[in-house]
Amino acid sequence: MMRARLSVLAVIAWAALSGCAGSMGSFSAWVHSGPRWRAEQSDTISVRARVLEARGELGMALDHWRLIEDIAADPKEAEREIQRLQEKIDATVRSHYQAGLAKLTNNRPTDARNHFLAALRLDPTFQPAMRQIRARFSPFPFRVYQTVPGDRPASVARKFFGDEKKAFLVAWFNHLPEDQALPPGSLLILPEWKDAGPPEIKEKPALGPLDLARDRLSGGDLRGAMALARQADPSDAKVQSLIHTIQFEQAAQQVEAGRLADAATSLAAVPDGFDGRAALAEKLDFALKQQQFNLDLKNARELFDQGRYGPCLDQAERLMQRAPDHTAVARLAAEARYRLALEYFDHQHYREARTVLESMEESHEAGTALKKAVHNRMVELAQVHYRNGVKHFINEDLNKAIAEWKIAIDCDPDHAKARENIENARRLLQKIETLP
Amino acid sequence: MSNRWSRFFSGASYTLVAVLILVLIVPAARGGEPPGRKPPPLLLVRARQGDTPQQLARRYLKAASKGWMIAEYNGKDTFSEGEAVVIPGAAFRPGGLSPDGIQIVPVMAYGDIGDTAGQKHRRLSRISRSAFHEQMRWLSESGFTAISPDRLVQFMAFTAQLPRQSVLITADSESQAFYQHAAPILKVFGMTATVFVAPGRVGEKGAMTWDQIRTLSEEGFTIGCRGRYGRSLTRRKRGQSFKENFSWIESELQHGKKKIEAELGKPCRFLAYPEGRSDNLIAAMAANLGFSAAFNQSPGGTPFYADRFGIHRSIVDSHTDHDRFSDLLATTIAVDLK
Repeated sequence: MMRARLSVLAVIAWAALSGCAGSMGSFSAWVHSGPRWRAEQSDTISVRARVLEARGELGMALDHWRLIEDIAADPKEAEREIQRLQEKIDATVRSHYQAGLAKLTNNRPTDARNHFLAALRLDPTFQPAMRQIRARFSPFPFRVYQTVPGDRPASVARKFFGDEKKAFLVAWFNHLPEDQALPPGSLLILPEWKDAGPPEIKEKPALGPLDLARDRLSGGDLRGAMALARQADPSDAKVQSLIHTIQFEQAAQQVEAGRLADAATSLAAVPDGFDGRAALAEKLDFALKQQQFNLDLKNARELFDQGRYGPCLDQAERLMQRAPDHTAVARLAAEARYRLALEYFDHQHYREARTVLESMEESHEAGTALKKAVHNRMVELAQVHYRNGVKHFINEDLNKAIAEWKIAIDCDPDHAKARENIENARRLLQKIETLP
Repeated sequence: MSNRWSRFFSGASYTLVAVLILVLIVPAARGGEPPGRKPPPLLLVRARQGDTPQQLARRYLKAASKGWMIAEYNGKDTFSEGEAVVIPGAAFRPGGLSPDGIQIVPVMAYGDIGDTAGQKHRRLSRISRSAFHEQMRWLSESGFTAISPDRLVQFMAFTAQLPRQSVLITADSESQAFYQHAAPILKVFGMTATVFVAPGRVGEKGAMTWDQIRTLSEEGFTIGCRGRYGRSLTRRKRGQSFKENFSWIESELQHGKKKIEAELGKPCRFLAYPEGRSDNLIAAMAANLGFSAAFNQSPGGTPFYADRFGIHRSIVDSHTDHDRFSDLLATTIAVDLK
């Protein structure tokens, strides 16, 4: 009996667990986020719903209450809130729509648009507001015409475009033959357009060099434009103005292409008050500085490649003053500083190495390690000089002893004994000097 | 006998319990909704340790790219373990309408990007590769999502919602430089773009080949048309009648569209008016020829109710400095819509 129950329970457990495993990840996950957990979140969600309502997000607040209705143990409050919010939304939508219509009557189209949009925001399915927006604020290049008895493409063209010769437009837009009677009641699509000009363009008089130059300029052909402008009367102010425009455009293109010397020449020909000249001059100046900067950086890199780390470091530090945030320069300076210090270290010039490494960034790992090595060697050196000083002191040569201890302090400023001994030796010297 | 019956009923009661558990608990654990019922608009879930909006979107909306919806709905993009997170099952702000304003989508119009040997100067001037790189980096770091024109059209149809900071990047160019310089930069920053090509110029010196354009298309770039040769459609040739001019425009648009469709094997739905110029007749022709939307070159963002055949694009060129660039990327018209 017991065995039979156990086997049934095992089957139940297996089925439940395997059923849950597909979507929940694990049974425990289901337990933690199941109906009980969801019901516990009702209060949190209701707080969010009220916050959303206060912000004017009535639709989102309504969705939150609908969610609470689904998850709460007691959905009565949610049901009340849903009804209240639905009524509030309906009333607000209607109010905005009516306000929009009133604004249209008062010839305030922007205000009207905003009211219709406010209605749509609250109820995206509210078609009257959408129709107003589409009809009045969403231009579309077509209009629709319903044919009447006797209509032909030519008559429709005359009616809409004022010209029977435009019958081909009616035919083209509606995939119809041009010379056929149209069945009454048919809906035609016509372009929302009126021909502003005459039906056909007549031959224009030949253009002068100034017009041709302008044409070339608008097509981007600056050389052609300049050649044509030079043919026009140079005393004409319009010609002068066009030439300056071309020179300005040339300068702008040359700046963009990096031909800065050419750009400077072109810009020099443009008078000072010319529109945009000051801005372009500033841009050119910036580009020139940038070019010089890049040249100096290149030189610094060449010095590095040649193993001339001292001059390279000087150059890089000058560049850093001009562009403190330039990472490439900062990297080059750090690398040059490290290599120069390493050279000093290898030649046992520890003081110089220490001086160079003083401004080494901590992020440079090799530099930091070298700095530590230099420091250790200096401490050792300080100890050697300290002992030399002691020897001189024992031999009663106080001046030599003080000189050695000074070197020790120079090597290791934290050498307290050397500092103390110097003081003692000086006092002793004073006493000796004051002896009768 | 009675013993046998009692054993039978005892076994039956266990079986009944088992069946009830299987019927009630397992479906609840698998999502709680019997098949056929309309899913609720919101789903309440418990955040796991380290959950991000993208991970939650992958788990519950089947697409990590919808993470922005979870972040925007909950007003936050980090969640602690055990936190209640509301997953929106559908767009909750169609048309990007919020109490404080109207969402607008900035559309950026680039010309040639980088060095362009052999390509003629057009109205849209060039921008250097480094400036373009810097702009894309800024867009990425500022949280912008580059969208496709398909998504923009859905947004304009009031059927979809876009991330609050959406931008459509376009380039009127068939230059090699786009393929060699701009496309890799866009990919680095996870951006996409729409390239409007003039099929009559493809394969010319300095221009992309169809193979390269196909590659861009396969990589998720949208290929649009800017006429057959990219010539302005609003300039009528001297001596040309209105009808001749109309036929020429039709041929420019139709041949351009068909050539792209033939080469790529997919519909070409978007048009950039050559040199950014058009009028109502050209817009109507574009609509009648099967384009879904057309772009001009007037500055300003696009709300959902804008003209689909006159979508504004802001020109970005070498004269566009950082301040101007960020100004062009406004994404909201501040209006009280409460």
